[in-house]
Amino acid sequence: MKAERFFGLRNPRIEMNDWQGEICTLPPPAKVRLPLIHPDGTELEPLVAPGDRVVRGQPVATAPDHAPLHAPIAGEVLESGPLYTPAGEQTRGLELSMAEEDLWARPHTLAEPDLATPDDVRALLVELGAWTWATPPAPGDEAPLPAVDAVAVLAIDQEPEIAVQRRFLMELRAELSRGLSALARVAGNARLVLVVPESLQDEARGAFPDVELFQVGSDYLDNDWRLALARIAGTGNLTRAAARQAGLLAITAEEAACLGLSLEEGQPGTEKLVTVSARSLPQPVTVRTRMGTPVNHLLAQLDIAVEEGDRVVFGGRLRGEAQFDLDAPVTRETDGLTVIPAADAYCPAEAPCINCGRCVHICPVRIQVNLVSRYAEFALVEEAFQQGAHACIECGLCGYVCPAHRPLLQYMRFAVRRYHEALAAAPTTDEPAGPEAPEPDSEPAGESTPAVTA
Amino acid sequence: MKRSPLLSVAMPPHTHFGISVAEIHLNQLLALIPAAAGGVLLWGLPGLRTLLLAVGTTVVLEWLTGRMMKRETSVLDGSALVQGLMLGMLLHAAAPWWLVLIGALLLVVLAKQFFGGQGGYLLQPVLLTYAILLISWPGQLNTAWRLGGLATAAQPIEPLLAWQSFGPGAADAYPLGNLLLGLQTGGVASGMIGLLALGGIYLIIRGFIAWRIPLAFLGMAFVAALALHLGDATTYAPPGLHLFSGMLVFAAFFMATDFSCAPVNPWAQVIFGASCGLLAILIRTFGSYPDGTVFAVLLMNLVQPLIDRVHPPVIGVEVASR
Repeated sequence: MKAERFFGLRNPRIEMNDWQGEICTLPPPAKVRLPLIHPDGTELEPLVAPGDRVVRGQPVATAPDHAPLHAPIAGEVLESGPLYTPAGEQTRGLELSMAEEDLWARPHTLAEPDLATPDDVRALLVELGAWTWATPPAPGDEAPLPAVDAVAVLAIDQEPEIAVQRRFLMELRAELSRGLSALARVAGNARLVLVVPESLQDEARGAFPDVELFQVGSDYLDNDWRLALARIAGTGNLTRAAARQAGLLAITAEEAACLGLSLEEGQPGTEKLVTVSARSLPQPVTVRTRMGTPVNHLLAQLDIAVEEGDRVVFGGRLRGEAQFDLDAPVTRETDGLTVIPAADAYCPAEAPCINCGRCVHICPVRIQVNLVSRYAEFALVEEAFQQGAHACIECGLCGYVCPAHRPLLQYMRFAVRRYHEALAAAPTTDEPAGPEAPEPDSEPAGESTPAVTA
Repeated sequence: MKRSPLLSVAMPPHTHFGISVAEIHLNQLLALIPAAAGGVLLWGLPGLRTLLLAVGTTVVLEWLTGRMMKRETSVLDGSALVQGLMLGMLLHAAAPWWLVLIGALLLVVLAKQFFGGQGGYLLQPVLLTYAILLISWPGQLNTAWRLGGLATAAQPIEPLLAWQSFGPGAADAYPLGNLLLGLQTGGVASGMIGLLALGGIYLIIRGFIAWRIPLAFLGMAFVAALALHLGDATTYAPPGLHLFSGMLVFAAFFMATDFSCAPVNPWAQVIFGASCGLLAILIRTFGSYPDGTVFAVLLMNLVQPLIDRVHPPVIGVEVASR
């Protein structure tokens, strides 16, 4: 990762890396582990028990009104027990072992594809686990979601070293194209926007001449999903959940491609693209692996040695989550795997703020990080959100520039989390609740309702 | 089977820009050294004595107080080194040893550690110390008196005092070039205008201090002095004399920019700097202290939290105003 600086007169600028490389498909692992959790945070009930045999693409867990989770490999259920999500939260999980033959479940297709209504198509996609967000409003729902009037397909990556979503504008554009036509069938007459990085705009224009393109720059922050969504919607900054509330459905290019795969082949998505970066690799490589693949398998396949004290991160260097367990599984949110040698692994310290203001100057949403971090440090949550802590997009730049090496992103997250806990505890707020909040990044809507107690 | 290695776990970001508090202070030290060296050149051994005494006692006291509080020592962050040097540069070459010692004690214990150490204080500790010394021992800090015995190239009286006492004619004894070179009485190095400005510009270019504060400070001081001078050229000193004399430049680059007690938001910095400049000129002109810069900055330090509320709104959420 390179950060440009011009003496000290300008904020460091982090450019998105612009490299290419073949995407290789890794052999399936001997075991996979699946956290039984829906992208919106709902816990799923297992449909199988230890000892059961499953085939690839068979539903193994589900919840009412939610897309089920499918087995990414054919094999045997070994265990059903607690598991940690990449963010470190405990949930139920399933462990499957690989069978000799990787048999697929029977495809699940539309009976009469030409006569299918958008609702039929969507029902199929939900059944196949591809459509995990924006379920149609249930009757009697107090605050039904507004109709989708725009769909943003994010072909941008959130970390400089990750190249997963961008790949769908390059060698994987056939998959995305299939996905976009599937999306067009479901979305009705909603406006379709493909969010593409500047460097790939020509490729995107050539491959998708009929689709409206939205260009973002080559800076790290230009590629932030929340900021990009906000620019499309013309507002400040939007989580995916908040965007959906405003009628803008945001999905990643990979999720869109999965829609195409499911609709055309009748199979659920069982694979995931992951960009792996490590010092032993000359440049980060993007690989295709099964969902639930443990980190160990990825490392072994790419010949990456992990020593005592090294850091293994799901995601990238700026906002990824460090893992404590090499058995931690790849989930549908895992776009990157970064291995940082012990010597380079940065550790924040518990140090007082010297009020230098670097965090304030670099914050893309203009939070007073110097104040908010100190409020959070002393659990003054109310003061923290009066300063707008909940606007944080968690880009990690404040912690990146802090000369006192304070864990600023952690303080921000703490404040935001306590804010949402307080919101959930206060029964009188009009915060929309329910399973339709499609937020894979764990935070529910953070817009427009700053009142907790005050 | 081989045990899997123990991984290190920490919160993101997992990489850092690579700057530390110690690096900032070392650069400040670097920026101060030319002016300090100039001061030693001008005042000779007595000047060096004051500087070393101030730096030494401050650093030792910083270490000692940290030890007494059973805290990890804060000497290594370099703040005591910089502040000790700044105190020495403000005091004059003939300052008695006990005055320097009391200054260091006030600086470390009262102005810094009582407020929670580096980052915690509301008032710039060096200025607070200097203000206390100035009020408590005005005779000892009267440079015209004390430095009379030291033979230097500098005029025995501070330029502004000379103007106020002897009228416009006295300014002829103080060519601006000499003042820029630091040939003026005062602290050991607080009058090294040119070298201090050079150090300040270095810090600005390296991004270690906010450029808006010194610019607004000096700009406003110039404008205010010019306005007064244009109003009555015989009573009020010309802006050049104001800018190039006393500790105005020192304070603008090194003290008003102290992070802990300066605003961080761009417009707040402009307001803060400009207010400091205006107050300094007003106190110099209408107050009883010939160099009121120290009080101007301290007063603005007090209202800094209020000024810092001038900031652009957070993007993306509506925040209820209090």
